[in-house]
Amino acid sequence: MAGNTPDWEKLARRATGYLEALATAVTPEPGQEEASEDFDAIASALGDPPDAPGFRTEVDPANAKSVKIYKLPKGASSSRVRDAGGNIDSFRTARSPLGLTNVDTTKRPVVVELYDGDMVLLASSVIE
Amino acid sequence: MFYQLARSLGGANQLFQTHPQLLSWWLDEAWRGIRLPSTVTTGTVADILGAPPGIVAAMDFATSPPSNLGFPAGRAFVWPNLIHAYLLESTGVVEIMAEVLRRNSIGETLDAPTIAAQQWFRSTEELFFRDPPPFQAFGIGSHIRRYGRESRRGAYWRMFGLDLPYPIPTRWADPVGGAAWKLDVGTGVNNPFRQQWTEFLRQVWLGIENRRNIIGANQTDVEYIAQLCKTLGDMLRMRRQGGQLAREEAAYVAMMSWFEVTLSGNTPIVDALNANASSPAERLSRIGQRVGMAPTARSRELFELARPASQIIRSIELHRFDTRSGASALFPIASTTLSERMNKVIDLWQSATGEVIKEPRVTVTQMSGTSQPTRIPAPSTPALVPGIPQQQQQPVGTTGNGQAR
Repeated sequence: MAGNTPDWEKLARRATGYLEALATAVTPEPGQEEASEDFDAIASALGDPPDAPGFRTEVDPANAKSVKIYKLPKGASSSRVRDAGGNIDSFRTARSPLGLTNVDTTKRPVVVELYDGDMVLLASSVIE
Repeated sequence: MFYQLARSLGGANQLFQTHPQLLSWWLDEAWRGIRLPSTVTTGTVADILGAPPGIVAAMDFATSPPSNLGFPAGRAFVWPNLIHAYLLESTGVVEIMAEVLRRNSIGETLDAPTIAAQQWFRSTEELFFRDPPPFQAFGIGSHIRRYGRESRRGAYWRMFGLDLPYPIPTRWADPVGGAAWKLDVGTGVNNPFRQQWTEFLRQVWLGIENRRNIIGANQTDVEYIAQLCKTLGDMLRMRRQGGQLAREEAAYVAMMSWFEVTLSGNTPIVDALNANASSPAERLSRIGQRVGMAPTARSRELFELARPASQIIRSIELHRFDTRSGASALFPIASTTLSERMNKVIDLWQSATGEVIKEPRVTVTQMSGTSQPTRIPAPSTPALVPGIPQQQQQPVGTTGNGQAR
């Protein structure tokens, strides 16, 4: 019957409006991301580096003089590797795997730290 | 503060094996090493140390011997807010550790310590339980303020209007008597802090509840949250005028962070006291058992709350949430480190204090219920000075009926 025919145009308009509202809602407001990143930097300066999902390191078993770093956190631009004896290797850019010259990876724990361009500690990983 | 140094040195054990003289020198390096991350776009160091800027240089040691500990060495470095010290001291950690030190130094009621434990005993006593070395920025004990316990309580009281949840033990109380520290602080007390802070948490929780709500009634008021952050920030900065409480904050936070690191794992002193456990609160509880004391009831929450609460309040002081966009970052659609920390602070504050934050506020009134009080909160309300009639404490130019003269 004609009276039961859906008003497709009206339904489509309603669905479009809903999707537009949804898109608006999930879009971060201007400045929101900056506030979040600022907080991460402040937390880092306070000694609590933000969680860096996927940041994982391990000594390459095929080469005990290198360390593999997986999934660099956003903004990481330098790294430091330190063994239990206090020996340190620093790298201007974090890359995987890091070739080590000073660090003895048999001296555990080995600590790998990632910094941003301002030498703010972003994350660290301990290889026990 | 020592937590940051321990991370830099490679762990708690390396920290406790460092000579206390070097640590004492390092504290002064930390004082002058405060530096915000260059990426932070709002606020300055003066916002967290007090305006006008310059308290660091004014109080700095003239010629400081180098500690050679290599930190902060130009990196971004900020010590925690005083709330960090307040929350940790609320656990009772200072009194329990002081009793451990006392017993170790006067008798043999504890087991014989290991060498590593002896190093901890010595460093702790040298750094925090003796007259501080003169001329250092951290040297805030003197004949004027002889009782560190009362000085710390006074600082907490001024900054947050909060006292510790237990009295000063009789053994360590000022023999002259009483809680004079509370009488002498005058009107400079942030009495409304707790109320405004709780309101801030409650409003952010409304935002978290409604962050995916795009079709129903949404009580979130981002502008109000921004306003609350401004009020809280102004309130804290009011107490920091002229660099007041900057040295005290740094010194008290240093002391509490030392104990935080001590209990962060099964460190040599924890091990020597046979108090190995899986959390700081449980370690403190076991240490307390050795000396016949118990930490406060909610010490687990207080330990976990200290650092995230400090991070949030530091960000508030730095004006990070004073704008609509900044405040909305506290409860974004997709969670961030910030929103997760905020949620954690709400959970832990409710559990630690018993203040109901997550339940909706029920108002019985002739007016329709609103989520915002009638008036926007003011930074502070001057406290009445005990012993002086209230009529004599009116601001100049007002009468008792509130009308201008």
